[in-house]
Amino acid sequence: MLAEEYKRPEPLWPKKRLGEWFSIAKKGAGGWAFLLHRLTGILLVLYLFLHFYVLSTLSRGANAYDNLTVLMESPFLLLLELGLVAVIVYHGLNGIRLMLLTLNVGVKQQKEMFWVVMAITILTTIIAALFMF
Amino acid sequence: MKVTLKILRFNPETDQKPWWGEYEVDMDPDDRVLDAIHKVKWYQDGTLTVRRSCAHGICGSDAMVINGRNGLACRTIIKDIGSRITLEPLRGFRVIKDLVVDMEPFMEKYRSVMPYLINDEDPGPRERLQSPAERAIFDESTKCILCGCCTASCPSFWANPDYLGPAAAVQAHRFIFDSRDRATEERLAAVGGKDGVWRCRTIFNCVEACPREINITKAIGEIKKALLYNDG
Repeated sequence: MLAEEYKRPEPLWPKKRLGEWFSIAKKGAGGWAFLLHRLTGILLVLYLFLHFYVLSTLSRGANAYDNLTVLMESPFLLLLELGLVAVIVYHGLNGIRLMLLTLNVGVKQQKEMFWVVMAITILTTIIAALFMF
Repeated sequence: MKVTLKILRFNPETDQKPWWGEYEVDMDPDDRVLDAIHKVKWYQDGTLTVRRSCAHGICGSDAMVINGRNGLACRTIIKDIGSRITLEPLRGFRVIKDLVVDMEPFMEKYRSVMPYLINDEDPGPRERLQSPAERAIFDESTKCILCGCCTASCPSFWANPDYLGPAAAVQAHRFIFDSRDRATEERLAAVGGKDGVWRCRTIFNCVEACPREINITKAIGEIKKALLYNDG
């Protein structure tokens, strides 16, 4: 059959499934790195709006900002901030890993690079926790 | 040994939705998954549809999802994966029936990278010569059997069926880095577009999936690098 004649039929199934992202039960290091990178990326976008909101209170004077930051001392928000540290460190470091890989640097060491990223992320989060609590 | 096969069945003429069929067969631990499928088809349920040709890992027609991982049924030994085996058709392709998927869009992309030697120069009285070192550059890429395991494991392909996919990229790599080929520019243009190699997010699912153990992401990386330096 020639390429020009071929019409791609509408799939009866499968329909596009977002779940396929999560579907490979036995993920490799690269698969986990990708999934975590996407999830942390989405979280960071959401955080950015929260961050802007907190900063925008400054436009209503120093008092408004201070009143809001008092909330940050609650243990729950401190825990969220610790999570934020982990998310930022992971996303940033894995971003460097991805840039290197796209430039074809260290492709054969990608798994080791992922473990280094994870190790630094966990270590940084522990150190941050020691400072915060 | 008793082996339980759980197979995702789908017949477009009678089924609205896919369903799981369970079959029990008595197999030798050294048998392959394909042998178990044969036993089901030949002795239990003749309607089970599967595609295989050579049955020895060369033709690449029996790629499927085996226990959540893409592979060739004829190359997977039962004792390596246990007595409970789950089989699904390759993801990201249209299912024709049961384990058979429509590979035509896949082959369409394969053709788009011009997978043949292009060289109009006169080769002289003998063949075009190539040194072992020049040949080694694309050696891994020549091992591809176009089974589709890599492309069907790629999240970029799942998200965008127009993406060229790892298999076609490997085929492009095989000719781009061939010292005898003269169509590097055209081929780089074919793989460098909007739905070309830049959609690769270096997830490495393809490398995990490849039954021929090709480092596909590295091949794609080399194409990306060639594209970068070619444009400059």
